Amino acid sequence: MMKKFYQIIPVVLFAAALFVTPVCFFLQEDKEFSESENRYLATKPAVSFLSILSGEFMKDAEEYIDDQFPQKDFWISCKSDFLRLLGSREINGVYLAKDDYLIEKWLAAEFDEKLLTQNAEALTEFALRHPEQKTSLMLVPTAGMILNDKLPEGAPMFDPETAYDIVLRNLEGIYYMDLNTLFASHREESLYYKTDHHWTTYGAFLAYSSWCEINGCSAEQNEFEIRTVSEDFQGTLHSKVLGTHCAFDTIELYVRKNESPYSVRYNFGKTQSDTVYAPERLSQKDKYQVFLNGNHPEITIETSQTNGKHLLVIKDSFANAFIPFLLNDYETIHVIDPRYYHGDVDEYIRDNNINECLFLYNVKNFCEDRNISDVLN
Amino acid sequence: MVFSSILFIFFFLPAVLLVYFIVPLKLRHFVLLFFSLLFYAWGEPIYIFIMLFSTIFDYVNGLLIERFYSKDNHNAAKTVMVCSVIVNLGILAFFKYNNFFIENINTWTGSNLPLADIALPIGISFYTFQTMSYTIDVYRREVTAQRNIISFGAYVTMFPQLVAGPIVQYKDIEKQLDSNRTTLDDFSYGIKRFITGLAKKVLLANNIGLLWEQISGDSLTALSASEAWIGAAAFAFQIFFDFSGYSDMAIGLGKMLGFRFKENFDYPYCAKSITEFWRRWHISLGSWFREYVYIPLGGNRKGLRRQLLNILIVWCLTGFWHGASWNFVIWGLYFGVLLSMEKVFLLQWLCKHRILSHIYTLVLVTISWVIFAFDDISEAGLYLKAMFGLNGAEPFSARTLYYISTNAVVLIACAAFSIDIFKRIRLREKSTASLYALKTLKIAVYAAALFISVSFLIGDTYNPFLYFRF
Repeated sequence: MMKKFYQIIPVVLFAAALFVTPVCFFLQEDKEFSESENRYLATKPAVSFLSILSGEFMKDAEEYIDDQFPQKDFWISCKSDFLRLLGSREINGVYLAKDDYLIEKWLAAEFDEKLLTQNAEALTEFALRHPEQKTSLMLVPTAGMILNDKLPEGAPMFDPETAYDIVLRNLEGIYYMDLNTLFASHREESLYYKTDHHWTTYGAFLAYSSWCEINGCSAEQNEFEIRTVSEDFQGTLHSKVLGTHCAFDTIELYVRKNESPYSVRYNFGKTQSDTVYAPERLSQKDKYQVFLNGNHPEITIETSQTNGKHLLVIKDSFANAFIPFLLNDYETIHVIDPRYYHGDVDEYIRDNNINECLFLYNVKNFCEDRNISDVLN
Repeated sequence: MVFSSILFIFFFLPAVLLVYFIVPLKLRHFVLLFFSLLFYAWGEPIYIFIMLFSTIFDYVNGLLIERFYSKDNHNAAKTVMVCSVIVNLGILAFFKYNNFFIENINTWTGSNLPLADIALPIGISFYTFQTMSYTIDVYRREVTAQRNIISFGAYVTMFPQLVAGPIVQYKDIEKQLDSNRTTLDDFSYGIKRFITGLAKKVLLANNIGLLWEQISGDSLTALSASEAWIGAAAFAFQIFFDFSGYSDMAIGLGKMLGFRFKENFDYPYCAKSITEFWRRWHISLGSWFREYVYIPLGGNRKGLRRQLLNILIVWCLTGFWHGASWNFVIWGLYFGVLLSMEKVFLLQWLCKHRILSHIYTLVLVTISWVIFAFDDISEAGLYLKAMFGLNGAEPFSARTLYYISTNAVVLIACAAFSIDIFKRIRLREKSTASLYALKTLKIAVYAAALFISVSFLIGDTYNPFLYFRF
């Protein structure tokens, strides 16, 4: 009797797991977007004779099942918690660093010297083509470089010194702004979010103060009102790790006291705004998008200044937290994100009377960017 | 389709089980054949015809051989058998070794023949071996030919063992085809065995595999010896738990459907010689080569010199079977040479040194995995150099400590499940009360293993299928 009982129990449990799950799957409604992973999910694949023959249908179906699995977030955070329990120091390419920091892994094997050389050369060619415009390059260090003492002991991390060497060697006619020394001396402060790969507004402020030393503008902290707009931000690195053990980040906005009015036009005027912030983004998962409403192909900001200075920023998402600081210093600020912008940059510069250019990238993004050289040529 | 996927566990498997146990007993082979074809077609919609051809071809061959025997026409029977072997090996040569031959001809003669655009059909090495050995066994009169094409088709395409073995010989399963009833005991065992295999694959192999990927993906010229050994050990664990996990799942699924496959692994890393290692590793492949190549070549009956030659031939082929690339041939010959040496003198010495023989086996097997892992022989050379500190890098690096600390639990679990310690614990338990407690605990452990494995499968980015070359 007892023997039989111990044979039946596994069968019952197994059958329950196997049959209840697909029933739940088919009963639930498909989700279109995953907030926690911050991406669109696969939807029901279309069946056709050709797609079955080519195997396309099967691939899509598997993706669909993976994406729409019931309670997917719960399962992934189970995995994450379990790995952590086992003493794993990294999950899905993210180091679980000290003080609750999540730090993106960057391996030497991922570094593509040729690509970086190509990117740096594209910048040089651009600068030589535009000698009238003062061009600068700002490379934001990664959290892994500045906070390397927080990484697990001995954790493999690419040392980007070679990357900086390659950039500097190939740069000509461009003013390079070094942030590494400055950031290293402020490493104890919150320069980076704990759960997101971006720099904090304070990190961007430090970069701005360094920028001002060269460009002769004013960056005193007391000129700004610091507003805390979110205390429960969990960013892109959290999306990769999930799990219940992650910290929450605070997002601050540095708003200049007595800021004169300005207007922001996104994508050649498709949408307009009177602020560089998008508070509605704060109710979403990726709250970093509060800065400049996320990434856009093109943005034009017209300020109340009349100093005849027109700046073009060619950038990645790190610049979004930096650009609001510039509102006081330029008549217009133009922003181009080469990942989404496919027009002619030279023409853009002519049409908008640009007289200053700034390339602002995170160093890892700059090493891995595959759009910049196309857009500049 | 692979077993370690959400699709298989929560969609394919429940569907198979439901239909299989609902239909009358007579229709079971048909259901099994149908779902097996679906299972295969999911990943290889076109190549299913090669498998069907191979199935029908050898089904006919078996019948022909019996017919010729009944007419006392031995020569005709032999011709059919030889034909079957040639065609099966021809299919294998064409689909698996085609580009290997072209590449080598190009290298040796300087010609510039274009490579054929053929992807390797999954599992081809397994099912051609099975159908071929079936015909040979009919010819040898070890089995009678299967008259029911559905049953024969169900045997060849049977999804539990279709894509990654074990190689099930027809004679082992002949009787089961006639009476494959599943008892509750079988089914319960099958579930446990399946979960064991799934956990081995998903929790152990996949996780330790990441370590190997990272270390072997690094610059091999700067790799420290300590890192290289950790990496090689990680690969040794990965391939063992991946492969034996797959066999466990196959055996478990077989049990659920009422079939008993032979064991394919028997704690190979406990072996105290290479000879013993190969009696414990991929047993179904070893016995296949023994039965259909080694013994027909004369085995050990024609003197020591001939025996050693036979060993080298068999191991050259065994290596080549694992993949169409020179490193697999070298890997096979490496074992051939070691096995020959053991046969001649080493085994006697090894018997007397229990601990040394264990270390000897583990070190040589680990080295063999490095040859196995790299298609590019020069990379394997670089890696081996790193292992022995011949690449000029420091012998010990800080990363090694990181690798060990972040993988400590997985490494310990891998080591623990590589030895038969759990088997021994089971045997020692006696009293009834503690027996029930133990049984309850075991069920809880299996449930937890399934739960955690599923959580690792969902949204997993690393779930490789290592036998796409077999």
